[in-house]
Amino acid sequence: MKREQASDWSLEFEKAIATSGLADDISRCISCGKCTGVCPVAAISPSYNPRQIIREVLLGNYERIVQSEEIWRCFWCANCAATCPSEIKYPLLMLYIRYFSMSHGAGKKHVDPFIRFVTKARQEAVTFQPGKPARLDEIRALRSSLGLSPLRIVSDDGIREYQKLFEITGTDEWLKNYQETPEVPINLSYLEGRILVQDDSNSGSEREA
Amino acid sequence: MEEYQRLSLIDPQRVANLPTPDKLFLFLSCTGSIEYPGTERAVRIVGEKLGIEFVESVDQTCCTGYMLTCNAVNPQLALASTSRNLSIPQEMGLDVGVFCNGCYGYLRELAHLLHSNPAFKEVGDKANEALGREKFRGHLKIYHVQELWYKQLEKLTSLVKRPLTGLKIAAHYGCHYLANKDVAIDDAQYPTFHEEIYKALGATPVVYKERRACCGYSVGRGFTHREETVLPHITNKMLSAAAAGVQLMTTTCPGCNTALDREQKTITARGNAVSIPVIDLSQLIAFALGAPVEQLGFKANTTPVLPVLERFIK
Ligand code: SF4
Ligand code: SF4
Repeated sequence: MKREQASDWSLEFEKAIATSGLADDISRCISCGKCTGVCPVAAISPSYNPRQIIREVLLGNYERIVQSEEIWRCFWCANCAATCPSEIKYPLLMLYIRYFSMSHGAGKKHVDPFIRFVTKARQEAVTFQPGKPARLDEIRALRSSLGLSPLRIVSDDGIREYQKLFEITGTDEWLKNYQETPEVPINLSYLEGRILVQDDSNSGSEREA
Repeated sequence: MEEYQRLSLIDPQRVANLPTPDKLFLFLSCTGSIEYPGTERAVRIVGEKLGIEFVESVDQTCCTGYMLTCNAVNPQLALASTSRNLSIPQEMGLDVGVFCNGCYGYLRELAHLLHSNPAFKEVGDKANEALGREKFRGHLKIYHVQELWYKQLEKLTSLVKRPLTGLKIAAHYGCHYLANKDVAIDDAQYPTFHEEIYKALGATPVVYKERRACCGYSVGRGFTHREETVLPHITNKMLSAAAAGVQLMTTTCPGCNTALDREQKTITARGNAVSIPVIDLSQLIAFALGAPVEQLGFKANTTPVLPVLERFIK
């Protein structure tokens, strides 16, 4: 496992976030910590710290973000955004930095479980429709008894149009790329909220930097 | 509870600005349609009592928000599908009613991005053009039905057929309505309008410790971080509700409902027995307004609902 390098930072990181158009001006962050105070994940998992994450972003420590397990923990509950005095839309920042991490081949294990939903949604234009016949029968029976269509069905035109959106927005291409990109194992041991470095005298054990 | 409600931060101006529409486009929720179809039925029942006709369209697809926020598609797909989906009510000349906090939050946020960022607008416009649909102009209004119900609270009160006297109900507000600070009618940290609805229905609102804790499910962390964070989080929440004597909990999002209702089975199996039925606020209102209980689809629930409602059915 490698140590963090002194050169592993770039002020371009914040610019890239700004041009993504997803997260508004994050430089407004005053590091007040309200986000962390109301965060349900921070309450359960003390190494998770949204104030620290946005600070790393603003300082340009992109390697720490790319290599982070922490960024995948966010529940996306937006409680931070509802509280932030600087009107930062934290969940959208999180969305962006997760894409950023993925563009470096990291975090695939946190995205892979959802690809099957996408594959199915592309066919049906509905998400979460189960595949098991017994479960489908159950849903059909209940919905019919409520006077609803046996299953939630999108029209053939609707499905065709939805599939076309996958083509014209480059999503099919994006998915293909995603699937072909091998997972890059996390090699900087920024795993649990702090930087760990390899103890060379005793390979395998780690101590805090 | 009384003391709690003296601190009401409901915004009277925003409530006053809400419409009392007679017709709305009903935006269907995938999770709602599949996990708790009774919610959709209940929304129509309450709408009918209040004189709101809901029309839907078989051309409406998934809002795509879940796949986007799980980083499993690129943002352009979600922007384009929002642009397309919202062009449907736009062509009908209708505003939109939503009953899932997820769809509501994603539609509003994505509509805002489409509107405020020229590059994103181009993605949406190009998509609609390629499909032969009109451009999404961004002027239609998107409401969550919970705010429309609250707007007509007096009328609802006058329509109650089954006063829920003595029933101890607790709220789970869910996050993706209240987080819309620019439009939400109540405070994100300290909301009380659901409790006011319970009182109007004759029930007793109960405040519990983890009342503002989220459901933990919104971006699929129930798949990726279930053991590590999601289950301990939901366990805390439901045990704190049980400790406060909650008999029934309501949600305004089928996704939250899935997390809080279905996970009780695992929580119980692991030694923390808990059994608090979780239903949608619209189902509760429809029930109090006298809707036939078979029409509300409680069969879909993992934690049985009828034991706490039975005594009100005559
Ligand atoms: S609440 Fe907002 S301003 Fe305060 S630390 Fe968090 S992101 Fe920064
Ligand atoms: S959106 Fe993420 S960072 Fe913000 S409060 Fe929720 S879990 Fe914490």
